[in-house]
Amino acid sequence: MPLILAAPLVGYVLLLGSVRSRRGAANVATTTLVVMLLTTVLVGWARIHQSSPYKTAYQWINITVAFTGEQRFQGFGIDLAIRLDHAALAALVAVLLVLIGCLAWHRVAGRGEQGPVRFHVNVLLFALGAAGVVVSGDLAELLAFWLLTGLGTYLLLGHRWGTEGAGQRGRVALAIPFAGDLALLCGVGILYSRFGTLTLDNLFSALTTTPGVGLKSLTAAAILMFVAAAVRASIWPFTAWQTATVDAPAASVAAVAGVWPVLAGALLLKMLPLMGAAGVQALLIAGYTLGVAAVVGPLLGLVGVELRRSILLASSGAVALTLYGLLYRSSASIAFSALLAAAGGRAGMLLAGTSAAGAMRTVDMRATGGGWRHMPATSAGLLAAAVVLSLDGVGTVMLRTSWPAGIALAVALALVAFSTFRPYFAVAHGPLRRRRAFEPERVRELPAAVALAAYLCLGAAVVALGATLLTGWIGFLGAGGQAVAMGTDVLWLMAPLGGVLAATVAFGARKDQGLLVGTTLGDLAGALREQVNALYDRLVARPGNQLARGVEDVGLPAAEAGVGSAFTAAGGLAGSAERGLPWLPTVLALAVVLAAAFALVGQGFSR
Amino acid sequence: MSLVAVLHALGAGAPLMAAIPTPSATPAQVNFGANVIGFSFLLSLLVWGPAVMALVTAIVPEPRTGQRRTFLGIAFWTNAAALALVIIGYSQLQAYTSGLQFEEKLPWLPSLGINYHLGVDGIGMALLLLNGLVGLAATLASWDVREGARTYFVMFLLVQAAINGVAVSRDLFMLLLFWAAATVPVAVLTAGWGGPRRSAAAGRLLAYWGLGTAALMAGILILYTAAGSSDFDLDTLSKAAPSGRLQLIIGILFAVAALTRLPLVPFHGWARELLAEAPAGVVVLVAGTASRLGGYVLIRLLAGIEHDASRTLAPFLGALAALTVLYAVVAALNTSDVRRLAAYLALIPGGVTVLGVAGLSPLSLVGTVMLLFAGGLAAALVAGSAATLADRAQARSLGLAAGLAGRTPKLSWLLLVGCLAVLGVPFLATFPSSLMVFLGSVRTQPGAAIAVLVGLLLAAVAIARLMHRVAFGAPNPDAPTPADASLADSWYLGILVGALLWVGLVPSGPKLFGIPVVDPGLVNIVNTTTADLASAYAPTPLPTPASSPSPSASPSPSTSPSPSPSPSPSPSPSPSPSASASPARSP
Amino acid sequence: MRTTALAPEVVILGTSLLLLLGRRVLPPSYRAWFGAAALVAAVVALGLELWLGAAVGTLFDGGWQQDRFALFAKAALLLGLIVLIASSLWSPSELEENPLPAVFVVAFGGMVAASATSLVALWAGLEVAALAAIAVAGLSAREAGTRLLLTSAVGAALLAVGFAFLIATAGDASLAGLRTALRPSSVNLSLTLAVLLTLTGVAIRLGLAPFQWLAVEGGLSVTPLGAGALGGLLVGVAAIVAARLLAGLESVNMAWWPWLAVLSAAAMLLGGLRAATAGSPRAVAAWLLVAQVGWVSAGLAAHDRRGSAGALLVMGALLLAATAAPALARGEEGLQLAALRRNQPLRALGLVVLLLSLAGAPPLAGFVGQFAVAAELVRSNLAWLLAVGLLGSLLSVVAAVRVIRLLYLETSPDQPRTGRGARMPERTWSPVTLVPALMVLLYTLLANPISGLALQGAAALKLP
Repeated sequence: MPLILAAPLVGYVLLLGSVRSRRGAANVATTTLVVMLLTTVLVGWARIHQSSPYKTAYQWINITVAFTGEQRFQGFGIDLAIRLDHAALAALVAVLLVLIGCLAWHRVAGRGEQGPVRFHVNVLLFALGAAGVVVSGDLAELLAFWLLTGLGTYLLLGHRWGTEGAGQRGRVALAIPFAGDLALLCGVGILYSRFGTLTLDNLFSALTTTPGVGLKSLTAAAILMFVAAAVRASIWPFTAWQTATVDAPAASVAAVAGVWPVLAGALLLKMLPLMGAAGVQALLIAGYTLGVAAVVGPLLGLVGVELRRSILLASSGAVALTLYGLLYRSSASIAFSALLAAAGGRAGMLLAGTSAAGAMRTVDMRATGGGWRHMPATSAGLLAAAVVLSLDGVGTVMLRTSWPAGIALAVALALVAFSTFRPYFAVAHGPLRRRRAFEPERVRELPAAVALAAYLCLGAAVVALGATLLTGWIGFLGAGGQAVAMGTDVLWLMAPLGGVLAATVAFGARKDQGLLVGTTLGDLAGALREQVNALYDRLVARPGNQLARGVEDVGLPAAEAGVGSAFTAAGGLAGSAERGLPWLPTVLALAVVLAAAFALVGQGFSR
Repeated sequence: MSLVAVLHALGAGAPLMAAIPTPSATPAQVNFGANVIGFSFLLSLLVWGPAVMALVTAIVPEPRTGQRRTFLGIAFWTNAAALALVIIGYSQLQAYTSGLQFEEKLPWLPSLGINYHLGVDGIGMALLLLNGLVGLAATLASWDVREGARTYFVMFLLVQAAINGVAVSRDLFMLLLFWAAATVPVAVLTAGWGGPRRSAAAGRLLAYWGLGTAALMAGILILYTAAGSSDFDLDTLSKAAPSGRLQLIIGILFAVAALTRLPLVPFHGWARELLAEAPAGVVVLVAGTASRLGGYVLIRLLAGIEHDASRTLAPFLGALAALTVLYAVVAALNTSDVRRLAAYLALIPGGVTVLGVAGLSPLSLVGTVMLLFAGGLAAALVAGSAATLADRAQARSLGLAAGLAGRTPKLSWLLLVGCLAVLGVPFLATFPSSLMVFLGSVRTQPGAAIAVLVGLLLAAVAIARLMHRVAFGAPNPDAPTPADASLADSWYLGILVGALLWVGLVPSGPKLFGIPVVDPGLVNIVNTTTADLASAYAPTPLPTPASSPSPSASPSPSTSPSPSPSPSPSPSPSPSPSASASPARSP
Repeated sequence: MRTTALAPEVVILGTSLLLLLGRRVLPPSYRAWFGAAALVAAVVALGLELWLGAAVGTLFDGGWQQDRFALFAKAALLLGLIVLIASSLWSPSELEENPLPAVFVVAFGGMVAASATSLVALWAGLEVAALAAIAVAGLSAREAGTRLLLTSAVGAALLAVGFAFLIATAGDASLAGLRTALRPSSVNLSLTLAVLLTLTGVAIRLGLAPFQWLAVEGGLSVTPLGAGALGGLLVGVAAIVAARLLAGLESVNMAWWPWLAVLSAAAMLLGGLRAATAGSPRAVAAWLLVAQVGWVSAGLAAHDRRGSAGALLVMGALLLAATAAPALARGEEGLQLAALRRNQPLRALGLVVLLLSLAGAPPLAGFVGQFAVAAELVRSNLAWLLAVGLLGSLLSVVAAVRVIRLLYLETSPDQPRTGRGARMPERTWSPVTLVPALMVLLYTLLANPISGLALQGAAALKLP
């Protein structure tokens, strides 16, 4: 069982230690992931009938910190606890499939990338962290693996070296999501400071029974956890760290975009009891945030004509919808399954889209087209992904119908469909025009392996999505809730279908005009961003810099130098004073004057 | 030891036999390998060994040309031996006991009430281990010192002797002695082998450290007088209970002494200069151990003795810690000098350490002690690697030393690890320690803790900027061609990284079937002593239940640092680790 | 007690006479041995003092007493004498003018003062020492000598007037009588004035700022040996006189301790300041001396047993360091120092040790004494004085480090920059130059018995 965590570690060390060639690195990495996958499947097979999660723990830290005082704070312990329930198994499988898909894609399409060993090392680090997050049963352990995955993300997205953009990407990829990670840390901190334990089981059993811990703490903790999940799932308004890093190697982008939502979902799933205990406040805040995100994300996806960016933003809506379902036990399982689908769909769509963009030598959707003619397999992949993502949220929404939220959710569904089909139409339909130094007729389907890689992710997605209809599967996941009974609320399907229809009209039939809107909007957004940046620079950055510079380069040194020179001056003054004085009379005068003066003020005078 | 014995024989006139120290009064639990090699004078050896070797270095005849590394060799083997001794002591130290061990006590200046009293507990041992590791690394970092190598290594060894001395002194006079004794050598090292602004750096060092020493001396003397004690022994003085006002004065003086060393804003002027100007070896030594002594004094003398003063000062310390982290980051974001940027980053562990002391909860104090070790390594790593990188790249400005990752991969990765260690990422020793500090102080000092976290977030930005420019960005065509780390560089940075990783991976030692092998585990070594020290600050048990818990009465996470007044059930064996953390259960 | 207790004094005085006569009668070829002979004599005297001086008692019906204080003071003085001679041996040109007899007389005067039981004896001892020291200094630098003479004469006059006042007030010249006659109630303007004049007179010899002319300007304008006598031995003698005198005036301490505290604060601060900004190592040493004298008087200002013990400890360290420092520092400054380190490493090392000890840098002799004084200052609520002292010490250490930098770090030992025709010190290897440093280290190692002796000495002064 611990092999799930041990395998990537071993592979990591192997890669760092010995492997130097690109092929070797790819082989080691892929093998490691496959081993992990097999282990997971085996475990799943073994645990298929036990509903109780498999648990094992290794005491990492276990100390007495005080001999007196409140008992729950007398000791401190962090366990390397593995807590493997069916949902975790499913999540692991999804994560590993996505990663394997990305590796397979990179193996062929990413042949030209620099630092192959580096890339695979980082992927394994990423995989280790992800697996750890999914299986961990201790908050500190969860946090550790979460941060580790974040580190892997940073290294993956900052993978390309030597260009200004690369460094920039690295900055964004490290700095922004770190805020979410710190939110998680704060949440953990609050929970520990109230309950004195970090193990999930102990924590949840103590959630309501511990006196002196009120709703406020729980609400705060729950919200912080949610923020952490939202940031890493990169739903609006936290999409920046992914949309800004689309220029990184496609495999990295796909892996990050595909895996993180699953991890966020796993976190929320683990925190379900907390959400429940935290009361309605936290749920409301989280729910509204997700609702807004589900609408705004796809809307922003319509802005601009950059292929990968619009895929990311569009799919973020789907992710938001599924996360919304994860807030409630009644819809947890189905939402989780849908989330896995979204993950696969996202990754698959990114891979397929990037393949197309690579073949067509542009990421500008105005210039792409003719997919069915030149690259049928890829186009099919894009279509499948678009379908998966559009239908992804339906199940959740069916189970969480409530007025007026229903309206928002319907709109969200429609928008997601609309904006996910946009890239599909842009790539697959319409003419592929001739450009300078670009001959459309040369465009060929990439090697089958590339398409297969995308299909791997998509297959996972389709399966996961389809499974949401199976009661058995929902029961197997065991997170609560029931499956969607077909035929109930079929009306909900109208929303995505409407979106698709609209997309067909807008981009299928009149592609150029449709995309023109996006272009203009993109330009507007660009201009707006410029303004905001300028404003930030003028109001925050520059004054801050000046302040810091003033203190550090002027104020402090001046003060220090002042003290120093004061002493020097004093010394010099004393010296010159006494050199200037006629020495003998001065001794006399000083002696007598000082003595007399002191005598006058001295004790003697009073008598 | 021999020195002491002679001194003793000459001094008090007692027979030499008296030089054999009394066995420490620790419970009889013996762990594996204990007393296989029994040292009754281990600590004296650790303190005076380097000093004697410094003397030897000073008087050995000038080596023939071609043997330029004679002095380096002496220093290296001295450090290696010292590290070996420390590791023996570490593995033989009886964990889960809070008493003094390897104790040595001889009358030295009885007429002044001063004893030659050495001894370590977990906290001191952590510092010794840190100094052993960092000392070795710093020696290797001094590989390229050729000019005036004799003086350099004499001073170098003297500094180490002084640092070990502080870590093991149980007599406050001796502590002061060693505390002050490091100042002049470090100043000389900086002034002699530093960068362009070395004079300024040395001057500032003298001024700030001198101020700190004066404060410490004053504090000790006031404590001594207030206690009406006849000697300066820590054990005696720690029993003294001065009046509130006096305690506050003493506490402030100790705090000033500590904060000038760690250093904390606004006492960081020397670090900013020294870490940016001194040679790599000195940087590693100062950032790694010499400055950690500040945290040591803070724990040992402030939190350990002056409980009331600590409670009073805690908010201010917390504020200072937050200020330091935030300020260091802002300053780091605004500097274009690699070494200076690293110097600012190296201030951050100090800030977190002080947050732990300000947290004044058992957990945060254990975290602080761990962070003395981990933070020292992290600061040494980040400052040292930056210094070496600047040397190898023959450039300090972010404009010139840019995009090096492709050409100096080793150094770039090591620098990255150092930065991450400052942030406290998992698998590095700073993670468990910082986590403990945060978890322990989020309840007692929520504001400061959150502020420090924000600081860390900004630190991530600064680090991203640093790595962006120096490592991953576009290289500067006009820059001189950089060279990657030499073997010595790789080794010295490797030692630091290795220690960080080891403690980060197995803080409580590797276990086979639950039995610790090789390493008893740093956290186990420090925790009992610290728990003993920290029990005074343990949250008091809540009163017996009167009514059902009312949510309204419960504290919000951002207020009420004290345990909430709401009622509690009778203490039951809760499933929290406290039940499973009793020493009896541990090996 | 038997008159054999006077043996050390006899040896010292005798040696001085013999050296004087020997110059006349012996052929010049023997002169080379005078220094060595003097050193031997001084060592013998110290041995005799430690052997015979342990016996406590009085002679000449109470006119001369030997107590623990006298023992400590004389031992310290003789140590200073030994160091002074040893440090002057390595440059025979020093001894051309035959200053050694006068040097011995300085020590003799100090011994007289140490054993004095009356103001007269104190005065005599101090004046003899002062005159002899000025003679040593003046031998090679005449007009500097006259100026020193005049300055010292001012001190002598103040002292004489003050003593006369005191004797008139108490109606008794003996210290014991002074103690009994003067009561706290008898403090009045005239007595205060008298005490202050006396104190100022002593301060001029003690080199206490702002009266450091003798110790600093005087010292800097004459040969190293003369400087050692003026700024070392004489200061020691003055410190002894001050200790004895203030012990006699204990009952009216209200009239003097604040004044003394002010003077010591001024000395500690001014000494530190000037040392930190002084140019040559020799000037640095001179000013560091002033700062440390401030610590001595601060210890006395605490006017109790432990304070005086601390003062004695510092005085001992001071006698060792200050007497030898000028001889080791000599005239070299700036660029010459780098060459000094290269050509005369032992001398450079010795100088560094002495300067650090004078600056009170741990863990050297000076620090131990200063720490004792500091502890006492806190105890007797003179925290402000401690603060000033610590600041002064900080500055002093800075000064010492500056010299170390000039010595060791300015130029590479391989190619010294010999510019501006500065005369570089010739290459010599004289272990004698390390003797003072070794003595200082020994003093540190033996801090325990020495501090014990100092406590006994202070106890012998019958302080509270």
